[in-house]
Amino acid sequence: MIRFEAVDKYFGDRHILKSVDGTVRKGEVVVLCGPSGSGKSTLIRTVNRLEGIDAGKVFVDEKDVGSVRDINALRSGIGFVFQSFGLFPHMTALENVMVGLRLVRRMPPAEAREVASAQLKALGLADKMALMPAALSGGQQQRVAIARAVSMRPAVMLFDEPTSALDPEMVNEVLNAIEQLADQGMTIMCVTHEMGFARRVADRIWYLRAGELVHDVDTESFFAMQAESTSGVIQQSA
Amino acid sequence: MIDILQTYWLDLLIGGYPNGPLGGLAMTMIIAVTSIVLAFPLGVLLALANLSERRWMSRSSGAVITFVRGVPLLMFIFWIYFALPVVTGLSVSGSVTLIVALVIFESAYISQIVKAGILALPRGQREAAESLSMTPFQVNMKIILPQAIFNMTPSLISQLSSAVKDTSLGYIINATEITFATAQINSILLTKPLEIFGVLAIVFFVICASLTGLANILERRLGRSQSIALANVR
Repeated sequence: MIRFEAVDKYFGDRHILKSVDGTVRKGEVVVLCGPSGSGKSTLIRTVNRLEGIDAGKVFVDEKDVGSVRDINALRSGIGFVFQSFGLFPHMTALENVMVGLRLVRRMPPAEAREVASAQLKALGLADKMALMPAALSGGQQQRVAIARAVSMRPAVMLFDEPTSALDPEMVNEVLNAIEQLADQGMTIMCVTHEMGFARRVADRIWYLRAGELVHDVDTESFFAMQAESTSGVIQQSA
Repeated sequence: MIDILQTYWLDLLIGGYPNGPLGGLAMTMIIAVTSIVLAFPLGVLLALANLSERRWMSRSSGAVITFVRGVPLLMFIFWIYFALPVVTGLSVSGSVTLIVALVIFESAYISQIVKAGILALPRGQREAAESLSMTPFQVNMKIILPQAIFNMTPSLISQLSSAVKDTSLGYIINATEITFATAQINSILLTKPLEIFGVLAIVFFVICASLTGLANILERRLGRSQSIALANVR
């Protein structure tokens, strides 16, 4: 479904991604973890070309992301949830979800409203639809962002540290929403430091360090490695 | 000064209208507001071109903006006053000439206001819209500009205040705005230039100070609502 082949990325002189190879299969949940600055966010941003790459290739459904002409056609199959939510502050929660359905999916207003409402209700936001983002808590805003992305019926969902900007008590409501998607068989790549969530939901863990994908293992093996290691994979590598 | 106002207030307000062309303060405001309204879409286009990733577009719009900002408004008024009838073959009134000159001139300044308004938005807004597969046109029209225009309203009002003052240059080409009306009254009275131009200064001051005050109030309110929004929308 998603394949990285020898992906290199530089920001100026800094080598952010170093020859990253990896594959995410259909329906698989891959959690990316590793120290800050290890290239996790940059790696998932290359999937829908929010970041270009300097060498190698990224494929989504065997389409080369770097050379695809209609980037919007590719992006319409990929949902992206940002750490900073990225809600549009001049629109209500409902309008935030409807805007993509109307403009991109070309749905009539009534149908878009229906789909958006159903998605917001499914994420427990039935009574928040008419509110502006500023009137919502961080957890609610992130759930609106998830509803907005999921309502477009993407084949893949990418989450870039979806809980990092949240107060601790709001983390679970967002993680539960992601878990719901995973249970429905959605292909997911999620950058997170929530290791409990990773253990519960992920099929595979990708561990990055200084731009290199140093571990690409199934979740059980990762935590077994972590337990066997005297100081732990994460601590040792950080 | 009061007696001048009592005698000539209608001339100052509407010029020779209805027996002649509309003029005075009414014409000044019509010229200023029309110029800003017409300059705004041009300014938006210039700003978007200037921010474009296409180098030829950003460079050519940058050159236009730099040129217009580097030349006095009076030069544009002269060029248009003499060139427009030659190019179009039409005789154009001073007021229309002034509006055309102001539209060109103000669009360059408005483009900088729009550009600053767009750049002040978090980068994540554009990325969020792009990740929903919106086209660049949709991103600008539905997501970026509605937010940027909200942010730049105080600056646009300040620009209107500047345009109101700039209309006084229309006197040179007989645009029937308030300076022209004042000069006509002065040519009737002959002996009271200090008073009559004092009235003109007060009228300009009251209008521009009011607009500046309005811009300041909006700026403060905007600052408050933005700090609330930023605290909640990260």
